Amino acid sequence: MRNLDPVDVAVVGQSLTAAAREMGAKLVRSAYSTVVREARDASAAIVDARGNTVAQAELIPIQLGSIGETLRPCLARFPAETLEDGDILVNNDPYQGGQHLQDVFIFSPIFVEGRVIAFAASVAHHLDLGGGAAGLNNSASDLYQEGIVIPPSRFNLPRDWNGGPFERFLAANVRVPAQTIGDFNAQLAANRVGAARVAELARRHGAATVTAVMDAMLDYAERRVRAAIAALPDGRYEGEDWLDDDGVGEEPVRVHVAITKAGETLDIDYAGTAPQVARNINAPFASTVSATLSCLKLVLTGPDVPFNEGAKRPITIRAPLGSLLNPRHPAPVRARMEPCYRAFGALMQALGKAAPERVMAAGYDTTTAIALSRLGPAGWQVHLDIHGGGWGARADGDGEDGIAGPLGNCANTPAEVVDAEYGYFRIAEYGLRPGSAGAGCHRGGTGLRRVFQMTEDNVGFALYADRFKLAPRGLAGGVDGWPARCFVERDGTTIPFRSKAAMTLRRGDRLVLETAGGAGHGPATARSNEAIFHDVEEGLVGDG
Amino acid sequence: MAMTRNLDPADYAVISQALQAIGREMGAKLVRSAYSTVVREARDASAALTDRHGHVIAQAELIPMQLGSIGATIQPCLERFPVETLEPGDFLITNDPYHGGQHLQDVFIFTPIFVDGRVVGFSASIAHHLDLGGGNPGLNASSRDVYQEGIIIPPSKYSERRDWNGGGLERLIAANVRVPGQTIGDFYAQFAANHIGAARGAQLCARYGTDTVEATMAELQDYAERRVRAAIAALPDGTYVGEDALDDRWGDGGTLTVRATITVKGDTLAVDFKGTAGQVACHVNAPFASTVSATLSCLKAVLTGPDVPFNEGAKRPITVTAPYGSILNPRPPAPVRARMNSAYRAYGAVMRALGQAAPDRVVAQGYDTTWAAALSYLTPDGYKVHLDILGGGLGAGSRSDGCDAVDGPLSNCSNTPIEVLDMDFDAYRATAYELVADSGGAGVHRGGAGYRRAYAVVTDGVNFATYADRFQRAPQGLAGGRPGASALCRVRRDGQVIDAAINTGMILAKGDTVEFITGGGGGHGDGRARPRGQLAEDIADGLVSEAAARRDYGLALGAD
Repeated sequence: MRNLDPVDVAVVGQSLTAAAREMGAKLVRSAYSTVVREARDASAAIVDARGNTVAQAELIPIQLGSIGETLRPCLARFPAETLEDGDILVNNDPYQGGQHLQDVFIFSPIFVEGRVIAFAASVAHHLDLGGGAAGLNNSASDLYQEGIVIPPSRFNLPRDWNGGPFERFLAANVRVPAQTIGDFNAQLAANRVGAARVAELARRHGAATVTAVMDAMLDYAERRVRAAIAALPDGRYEGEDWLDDDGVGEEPVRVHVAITKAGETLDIDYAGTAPQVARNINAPFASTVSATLSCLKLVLTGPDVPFNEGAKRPITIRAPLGSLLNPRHPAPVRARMEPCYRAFGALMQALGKAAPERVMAAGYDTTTAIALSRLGPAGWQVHLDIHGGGWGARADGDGEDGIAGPLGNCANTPAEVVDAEYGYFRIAEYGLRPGSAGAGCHRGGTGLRRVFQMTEDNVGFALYADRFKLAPRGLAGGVDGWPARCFVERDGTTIPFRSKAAMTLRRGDRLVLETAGGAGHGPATARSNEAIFHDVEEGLVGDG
Repeated sequence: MAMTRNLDPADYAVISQALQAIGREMGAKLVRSAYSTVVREARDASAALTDRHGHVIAQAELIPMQLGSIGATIQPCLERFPVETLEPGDFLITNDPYHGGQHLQDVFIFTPIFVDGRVVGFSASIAHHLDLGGGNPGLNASSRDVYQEGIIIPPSKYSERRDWNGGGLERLIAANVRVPGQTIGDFYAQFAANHIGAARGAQLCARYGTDTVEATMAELQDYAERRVRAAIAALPDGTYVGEDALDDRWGDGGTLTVRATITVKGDTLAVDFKGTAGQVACHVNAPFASTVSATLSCLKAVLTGPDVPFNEGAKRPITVTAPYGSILNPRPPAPVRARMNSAYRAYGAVMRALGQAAPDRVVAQGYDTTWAAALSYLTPDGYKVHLDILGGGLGAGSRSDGCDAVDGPLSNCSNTPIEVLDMDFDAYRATAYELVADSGGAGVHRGGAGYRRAYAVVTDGVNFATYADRFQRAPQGLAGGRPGASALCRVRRDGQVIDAAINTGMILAKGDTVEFITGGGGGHGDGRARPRGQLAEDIADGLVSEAAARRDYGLALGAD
């Protein structure tokens, strides 16, 4: 119990949240690459001095859910008391609390009267971090081939950045140094604004009050999540989901989960999940944690429950070491979104047994990443296009059309921006994919169709995706969505791709991406006429 | 000898030899402190002492390719971090091919030597690091840019206390290399070598006075310059052109010609590589520092003897130019891992050109190729990486046979003994290691023999990556000598033979065998004039078969 004025809690708490949101806006608007500036593949948060996330910008769930996991290995090595003004902590190591290498986390200590009271944290997906291929290396069989690893490290900005050795090292090892360094600077700018806001708050309300409010925010989230868990029936619930294949063979790869709910706590155990694989669809444990928390939060609570470290306290998460969801170093992990989405799907299925009215049918629930890169006389250009598709329908509503999946939340890169920035391809088509949504009382969301036309030779193309073979499954009598596909039209022939592929493209090639529709919920015969009429009018049904 | 300074000749002799000894001691320290077999056994490493301007004074006699460019590699560091700004405990480090470096695996570390608060010189070490990350363990045959070849360290300044010894740079490198135990261990060996060089340098200054030592450093360079000028002046003035070529397979199908035009005028010599093939997509491009090094090594080997030191002064009368965008001076980010082989063709072209000015001083083409073979596998405790560096026969000259089965003249590595290989690596074992009969080209002086080395794979999943050359173009003889044998690489699997190309990467399975057959050197002169006694020894040693003796050396039927 604290002597905290509830008004202070409300005002300071909302100010902290606002600071995190402002960091997110600053980050996106200061960034150089389209993947941060347009697709907004970045996140920001305020973290307390012990490494607990307090408040977040509502950006990328998979990055946000585990920010504390990424900071704590840094603090273990560089305790907060040893940090100095100008220091930053940096970590992208999947085997020390990070996600995949491209997500570089930067933490700036926030000093008030010489003491660290919190950290400003930002993460951005860096377009190219070196490694075995520009933008995305599908054939990577180990982490080293995926890019530069930055273990939990401490740098000092005046000495190591702004012309210093770390900045120069990074610039030397990435193919698009102007954009990468620019995006790092955007992260630093976001951190600075977060630090300034928190310091202001401490000046106005006192550091002790701000710290106490941070604790109260964690406690509040914990209480709300405990209450939501308590509302479920006690018991053990299992679920599973499947990836198309491991990127090499044809066999599907299984994710299995058992949820044990007792009172106010949940234990999530991924035993029974497939062992780790040789290519990049392994998920670092921090990503598994993040995906799990995101699913639980989404299903069990509403937007008024903050997503901070307190929300985790009643939940334990375990995955066997050496499994797809907790691989051993140096397994490659670039495409970790895919196994994370299957964890999400397995959980959704398990939760559906405890609370059937709260869950969704399967959506595309896949990150489709397409890298198009080219080495020209002036060096490399790299573009990363990130897409979702249709969401699964719910008992009380249709699935969303043509949008990023629930763990991702990236925006698309507008065709205008792509055409303005890159000379070696253009967007020839972009629209929804009629007919792809699974029918139901509530229908799934439609998938997307995007066609890229190559205007130069020697364009490097790499893809990771999923659900080319295993379509999203309907729920409660709803129909499956269409699976996704990707192919090249060249000189009158069609070259189909697997869901993990790479190829060199030529001028005139048309690269076609069609993403999956979400599955339906409930029998289609129960759909209202008004809704059906609207679907027809919008051109969303039909053969496409 | 003429001395331009107030140096006592006895002091000069003692101090200059002491400086050479420091270079050698650094080299010994480096090799003996190293962790990986590629430095400890193959000795793919070098060490040198420079003056405060970064000019090389003395070198360990290790790897010519690395040594010839130390001065060029330190300059970009000194431009960015002038010597007056350095402090005790600082070090300069780079491996950047596009800022004076060689290929990424050769990391140069320079440690300033302070005496009374002033830098009097640098101790410099280079080691070939077994794995520096990148797209494949050990070596990446499919690299299309330098980023895929490993981590790049631009010319940088760090502090040993803050950034090494558990600091940020050490941890960053350790996180990005597949064999951190060995790589970091080899880095520490470089620091150890640099420290001993700095300590000896400081001792020398304490004993003789800094002024005297620096004057000796300057005189040693001037001496080398005088000797090289004299050697050049002995050549007739004129223009001499020579060519060599890489195997076509490295490019798009056309001939990859390397062309050297040497212009001798008085006591200066210019080498221009105009007319050389353009850079290629795969990793055989040579950074310009490598081109310069190969050129100087050839000139030094042909024109001077071992009594002429190989330091910065030796370079002064020589200029080297190569067109930007050619295979000998590529544009970034072209890949450069296999640069030795383009560098060897530069060496060969220069040798051919020199052969017109001084025919009795040059040698026939040897295998003159670096064949690197990486065999790696992942264990529960991390990666194991082995890098085999293979040579072959050297070309014969007018005075002697070519040496059998050694590393090429720019490289000078040792082999990795089979015993060491068998102790360190479980996934494969050596099953053959022998000279190859008739691989040396016939001549009055026989070309050196190539050799055969074979491995049997005993575990699945061994990552094999290799680059070589001269599978297509055999080393040519000189003055009527016959060519040496070309090389070849074979993988056998379930009774099938897969002839591997000069630039290959594949995963080997249990039961596979890999066979490396390296090339022989070209012969010099007509084999029929080879003294019969030497021929008899060749036959007795199994280096020349009876059939070849009759065919190429004119051995009469029925002769003993």
